[in-house]
Amino acid sequence: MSKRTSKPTILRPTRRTFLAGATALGTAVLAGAPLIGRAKADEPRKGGKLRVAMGPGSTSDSLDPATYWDSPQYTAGFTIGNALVEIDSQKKPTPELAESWDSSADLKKWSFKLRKGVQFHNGKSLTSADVVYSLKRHIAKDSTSAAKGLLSSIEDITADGPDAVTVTHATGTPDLPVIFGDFHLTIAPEGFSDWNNFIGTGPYKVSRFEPGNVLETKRNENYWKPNRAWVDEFDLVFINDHTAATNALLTGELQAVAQIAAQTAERLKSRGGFNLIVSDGAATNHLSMNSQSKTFSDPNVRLAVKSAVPRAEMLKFIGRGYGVVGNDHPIPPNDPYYNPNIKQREQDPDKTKWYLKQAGLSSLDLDLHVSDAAYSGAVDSTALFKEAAKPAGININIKKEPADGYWSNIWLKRDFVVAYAGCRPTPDMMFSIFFQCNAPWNEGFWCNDKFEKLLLVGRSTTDFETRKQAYWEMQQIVHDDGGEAIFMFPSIIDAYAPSVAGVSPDGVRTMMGGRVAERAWLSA
Amino acid sequence: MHQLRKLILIRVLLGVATLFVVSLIVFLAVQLLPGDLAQQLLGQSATPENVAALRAELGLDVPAYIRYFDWLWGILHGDLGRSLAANREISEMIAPRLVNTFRLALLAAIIAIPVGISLGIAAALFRNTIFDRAITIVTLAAISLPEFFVAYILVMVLAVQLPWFPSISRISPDMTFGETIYRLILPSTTLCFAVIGYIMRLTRAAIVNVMSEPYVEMARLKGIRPWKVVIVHALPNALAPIINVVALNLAYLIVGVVIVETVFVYPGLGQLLVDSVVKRDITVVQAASLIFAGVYIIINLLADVLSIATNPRLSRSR
Repeated sequence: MSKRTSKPTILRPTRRTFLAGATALGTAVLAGAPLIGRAKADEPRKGGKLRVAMGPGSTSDSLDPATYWDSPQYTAGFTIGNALVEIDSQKKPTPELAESWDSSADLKKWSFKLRKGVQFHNGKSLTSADVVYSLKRHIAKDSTSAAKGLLSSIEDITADGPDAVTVTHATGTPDLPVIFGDFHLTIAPEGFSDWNNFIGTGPYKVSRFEPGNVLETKRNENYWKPNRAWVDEFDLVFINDHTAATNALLTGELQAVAQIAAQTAERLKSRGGFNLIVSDGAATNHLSMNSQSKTFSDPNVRLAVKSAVPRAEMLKFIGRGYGVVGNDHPIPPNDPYYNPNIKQREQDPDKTKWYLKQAGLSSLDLDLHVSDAAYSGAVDSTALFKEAAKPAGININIKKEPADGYWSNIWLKRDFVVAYAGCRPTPDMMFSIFFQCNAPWNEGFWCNDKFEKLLLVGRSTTDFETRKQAYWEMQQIVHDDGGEAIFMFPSIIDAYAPSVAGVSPDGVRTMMGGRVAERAWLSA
Repeated sequence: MHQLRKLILIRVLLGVATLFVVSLIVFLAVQLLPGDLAQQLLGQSATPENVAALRAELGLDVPAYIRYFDWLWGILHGDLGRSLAANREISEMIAPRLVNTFRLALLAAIIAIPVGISLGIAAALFRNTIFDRAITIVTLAAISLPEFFVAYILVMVLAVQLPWFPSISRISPDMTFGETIYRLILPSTTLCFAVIGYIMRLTRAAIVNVMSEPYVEMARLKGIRPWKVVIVHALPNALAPIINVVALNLAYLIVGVVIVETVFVYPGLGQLLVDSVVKRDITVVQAASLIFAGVYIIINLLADVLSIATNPRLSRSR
């Protein structure tokens, strides 16, 4: 789990989420809710206590941003602190603690101007020294920060007077502001280290933190963002058991549960009265093939496998319809850089047979390693795949592995595994983390010269059209040649009690990208 | 009484020796876990140099036997050490959870022990009647049901359908005593389901066994009422096995409740142990295991001493 935290994705409202919202409204009207009352409820109001359940949490959790490993931890981070940059609903970087930014022509030197008049919870004013301290912790030589890899190309971060910082990037990137929207990069006062009493600039102050149990906070009356931080108190309850979290929502112990299972969503829907927020394109479910192994070194074999995956059934039975089918590349359809011109690959036994023949094979026996650690329903999805692949001449032997240690002992170690990857906010991140030649997480052990060249093109400019062209072509290359059969982008579903307002599906991942505390309010 | 004191002393010394052996076993078992904390912490960014540096920083590069004696030395001085993953004092992490675990176990025990023993006595008194069969079947069924099943049924009925109790047992320091107890009702009831059956069955068996003794027959022949025969004559002589089964179940209530903790989101010691194993936070695993072992040993010691104290024959020198 800790291996692969998904990275921010912001989503535009999709047809389905729009419909869900419309249906909810319709139900409310049918239920006789007076329209005037509704209009009033839509006005943000202060007050109340909001309790949100998220998982997974662990007793070894810390509020130190360098240790955040999944959504509950960074939601805590954005409740207490801010980053320089906020990623908006279109996956675009927008100013948070940085008021504006600028770069040199080669995209190597970046200057961030800090917002003035921002104070920490202890009354200290934010200065560049705090920012430099908070960011440099991650790139220090002996740093064990989870963001060290993300910042590996950053050479230096220095103060430029009290209200600006300068960042030097080794090779230059147009996505530097997106990087600084990462949840590990929340800002603390210079020299701060008492992390379980984290003092930030954010909407809520820590009143009690019990790792793996609860974070209790009270509103920061001095919060610098206007029209934010509505509720008086915000509790983040760490719950690992999905059923317990759902029960607590049903009984009114809590007002929201993050990342509920698709089955649970159906139950809540049939029960009615709950607000389901569906965010698409947040992660991939896929099969990884080691393209340097004997079996998969022939691209025809990889294509045979890709053509054997029953994508529609996977979405229907594993995702219960909450998601979109994948097309063997990692860019979801709601991404601004998504290439709509690539034909959707479908399950086709004849094609599989044809590709196998091209590879000189009449049938293929494969060991597929799987655990539900990959994603919920992973083991079931291999059973579906096995049955679908059999008539096409691919015999799957399912190897069920223990969940504990799946990411360290099986993933990247076996030639054919089931996996998931959290979508990153930019195609560059997604491609360089999972597809760039020799990247540590290159699951397909795949290298392609043309792809590498295009990756550099995408990094060389801030011009949208040029980058789009490069990314479109890269999606095609990965679709045709890559070592991953990406069959599904499962959706994230958050459930809210009807009293919670101000929530939207277009957040950065779950719980509006961890910013639920400052955005939501409780209607009377 | 002198005999008893000597016996207690021997049992305490044996207990300490057992703890020592347990500490060794725990330490060795933890060494056998695949992977280590350095790898777990660094995750994907783990390069060999990185892992080696972190291992050195955490002191994992020192040979195991030296670490063991360092750890033992610390324990002997009342120092449980620091958590490697959370970088906090272990005592500070364990103390509040230990209190929670004891609180839940105590509440469950306060309900389960009297109920179990009374049911056992009643069953012995009315043995082979419909009443006896009925409680036997019910309690056996309760034992056979997995805890999570009982827990979810209780939640479904008593929290979701009838909103009488909270479905999760979140407690915080500013709650009143009454509210804390109220929030613990469902988890402690779940635990009662698991232990009442054992206590009841053993109480019944012990008493039935004593009831066939000649002195009980004598008491009956004297015309003493049946319930008085059981309470005054049979029960005192059946106490030793009952104390033992109560002790075993008490120990279970303290160390075996991780499922109930999970279902009711109750911050006890079990969850801490599971989390620490997953994170390979070996110092915490060692400390928690040692505490569990200590609890087992102390409770068993108490049970032995009590059963000897209630049976003068056992404390006579042979």
